[in-house]
Amino acid sequence: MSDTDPDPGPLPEFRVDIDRQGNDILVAVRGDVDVYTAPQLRERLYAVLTDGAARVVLDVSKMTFIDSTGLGVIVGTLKRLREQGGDLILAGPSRSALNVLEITGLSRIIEIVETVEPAGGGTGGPGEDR
Amino acid sequence: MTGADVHLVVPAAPEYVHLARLTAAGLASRLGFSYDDIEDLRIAVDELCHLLLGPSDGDGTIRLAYSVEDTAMVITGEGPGGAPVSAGALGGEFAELSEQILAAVVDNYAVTSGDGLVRFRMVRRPRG
Repeated sequence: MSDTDPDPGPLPEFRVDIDRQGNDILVAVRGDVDVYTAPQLRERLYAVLTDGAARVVLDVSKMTFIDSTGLGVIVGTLKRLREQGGDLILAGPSRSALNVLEITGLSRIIEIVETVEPAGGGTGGPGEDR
Repeated sequence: MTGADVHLVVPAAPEYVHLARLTAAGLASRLGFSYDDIEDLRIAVDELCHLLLGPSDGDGTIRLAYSVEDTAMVITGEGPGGAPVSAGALGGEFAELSEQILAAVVDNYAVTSGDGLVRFRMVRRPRG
């Protein structure tokens, strides 16, 4: 089951697609996450949380930019998930995104994997097969 | 590119900040900055533009100037400021993220306010 955003947002390239796989939620972000688009991402993520998601995999492999507002959304989502016993996994960040995550220390508190495995569930990372 | 060669004027609203990034990236690319340098410039000007954004019901303007001094790209900006950059804002934690990013990606920057405007100046030299 896929829930795609019918409105791509103010910038043609920004998009959030949500897919449910059992108790896991896969959220794929495309485009720039900045002060203008971060509220949209937050709205979509928080809606997922109210549905009681246990684990959210945020696929950022097609995310082309993220700033502190986007990081704030990720941190807020992570906190809420962990409060309800879930977790957030970041999949496929670009070198630039990874750099920002490392600068801010968020790479130490958020699980980051290289890829999202399709259909079969779980995520792919170095030495990991969940 | 010599002196204050490129000026960008946009409404002081979030949906226009990407133009500041786009301009910085385009110019830096022409100047031979590396991919990593360009990415640093993009996020630096983006973070600093947050400070220039005006209230949602306002109609202020952000003015940016891009120039080259020696081998460094210098970007200055001014805007009304005062916007509650609230997307994902977590109070002090949000501001701390921005400051951490800026400290890492620019050589130096300064933010001042006065005459009803917020201003910044940032310098970034190629790091290769």
